[in-house]
Amino acid sequence: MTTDVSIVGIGIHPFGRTPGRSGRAQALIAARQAMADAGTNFEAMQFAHGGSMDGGDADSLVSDLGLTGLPFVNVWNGCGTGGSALLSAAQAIQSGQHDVGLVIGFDKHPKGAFNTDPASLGIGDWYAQSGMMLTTQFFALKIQRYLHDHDLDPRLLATVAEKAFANGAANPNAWRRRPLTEDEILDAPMINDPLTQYMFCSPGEGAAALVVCRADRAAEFTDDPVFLRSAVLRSRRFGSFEVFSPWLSPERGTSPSQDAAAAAYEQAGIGPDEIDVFQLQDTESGAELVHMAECGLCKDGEQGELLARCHGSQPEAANATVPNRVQVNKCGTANGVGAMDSMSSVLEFEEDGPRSKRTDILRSAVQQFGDKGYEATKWSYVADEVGIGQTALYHYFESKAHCLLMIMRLELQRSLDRFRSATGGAVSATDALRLAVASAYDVTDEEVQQMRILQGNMALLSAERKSEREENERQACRALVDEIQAAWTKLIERGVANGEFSPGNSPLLASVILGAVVSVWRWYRPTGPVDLGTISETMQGACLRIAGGA
Amino acid sequence: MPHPIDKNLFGHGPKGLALLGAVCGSCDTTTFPRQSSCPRCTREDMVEELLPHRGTLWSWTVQHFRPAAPYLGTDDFGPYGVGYVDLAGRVLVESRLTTADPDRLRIGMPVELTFDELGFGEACRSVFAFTAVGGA
Repeated sequence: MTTDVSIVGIGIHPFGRTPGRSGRAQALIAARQAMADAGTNFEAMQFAHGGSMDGGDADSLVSDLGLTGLPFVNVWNGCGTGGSALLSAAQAIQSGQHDVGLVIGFDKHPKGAFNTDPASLGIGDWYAQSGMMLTTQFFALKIQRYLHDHDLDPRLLATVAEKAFANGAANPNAWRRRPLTEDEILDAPMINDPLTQYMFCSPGEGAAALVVCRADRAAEFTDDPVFLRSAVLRSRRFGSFEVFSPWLSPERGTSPSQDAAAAAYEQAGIGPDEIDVFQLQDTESGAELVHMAECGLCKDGEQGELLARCHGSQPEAANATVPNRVQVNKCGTANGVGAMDSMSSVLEFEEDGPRSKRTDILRSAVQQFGDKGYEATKWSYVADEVGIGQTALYHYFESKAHCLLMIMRLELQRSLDRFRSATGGAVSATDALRLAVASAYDVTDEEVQQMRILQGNMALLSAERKSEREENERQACRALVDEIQAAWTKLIERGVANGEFSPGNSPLLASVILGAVVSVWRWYRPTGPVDLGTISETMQGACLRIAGGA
Repeated sequence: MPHPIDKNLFGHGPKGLALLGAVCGSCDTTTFPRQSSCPRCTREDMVEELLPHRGTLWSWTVQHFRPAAPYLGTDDFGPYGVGYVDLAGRVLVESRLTTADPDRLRIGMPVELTFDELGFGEACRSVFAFTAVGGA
């Protein structure tokens, strides 16, 4: 491929779970964002390629984006759907057929493991009936053999997952935003030996869109285009070890990742040692380890050294093939972000296994902390309420403070998610502000308790914790607080830019508004004289006036 | 023995029921189950062949959660082992294993074909599995 295709607009809808918003609705948000990023609109799109596994028909988006008559090609290629849509769009531009187009991928997977019909793959029903047609099993069997062949420490699987969660925590579009330690990952329930729960990604939801155009027209849309140097797709050859194989040849051949990576390097005219950032398929930790070698970042068996360099904790090895600056799956990718268009990893776990008491403990603690106050609640009383012993309680939370910090983090995350889903579709900043305030008061009695606990204990976030698990939670809380503040500030800035709000110090105004919104939780009681509907109405008006809106 | 889960998987040999594969007359590639064309050389020259009873464990895992339908296992789910078994260097066959204990599973251990029952009552079927040679 020559460098004649460029990406001039990018849009993304956060990954995770967005109840009440369809996959198509998420796709529309990403598409409009991408076109706005390129300073263009749907009428300017000459073609569109896109797809979704479970989220609906991509071409039906024209009913909302506009019935302009453009050719819209649906792409359906399993976990390769998004990449295939980009590849085919690039080829449409290279062929000279079109100059500017839209590429879109979105999904809304149901919870639980993907359940594939064996007949659709030419395999007998016996394979699923006897319990062997599971993607998680395949991942485990593949990495088990790989670790054996290359004498790798299984602990590396936790190192990979820890990195993914840490990167996810720093990415506002990621689903899993809480960092986890290697030990937490290794101690999680085993799913398929040697892979534990936290080594897998989960099927989720989200959308991403791109505006692509002929490179010589990029300047019409942006000062900062991305040039597509190569895009390659391959399927398996004889001897590769891929998912849903009732048998394999004893003869090992090259994998589709090896073939595609080699072709992509050749097309682009550069090698892996000239690349700074890699995104590898990592539906589970094992896949990332294998793909590091298959895509030429390191040799088989040298993943430990490469990971140490990703962390930046070891000096560069003398024979290093990859420089220190290399970043692998920086966004948290599948593991931290959630699986998209992915026929690969396919479990949706709640935070824990089905027998976990964590939810019960959190519920009971919310009740106790909310009713009696955090200080006055005896930690042992929570264990009694849930009906577990002190040792079991300690397994989940090492202290009362650890539990409180987790409640606070979950509440902050909930508030942020609620803010995003309330304001995502708003056309004007005025509407967005009204919807954001309304969403803050659209809560259950239990969430009222959680808000009260959060607001009553914010001071806890200011001082460092001695315990690692408490400190992880505190850091995650602080990151969320910053993100919430940034999100409200952006809303105000948008209103000022549109002329809807009076110009002023936007971050300060956002703080004042946020402060007013949450102050309600200091005095509000569900049984009190003022109901939430009245509070919501009054606050919406008050916050608009603070922002200097109409 | 209950009905086999799929009679196309098995054939009768001198040592009783065996797995039924196919061998390519052109390039000698062995598949399981049998198929009519060769995925290696693309020719349609496949001949049925019973596979060896014994082999070595090539990789393994333990399935810790109950698979979704159409899994035949009963509701009282217990973990089970799954592996690929190297049958005399001819083919690696994916199979259930008779143990779910990671401490008793090792890559390279000798294993042999056996049969297990899966499901309850009318739905009960006989499935193939591999077990440690000598029942160790």
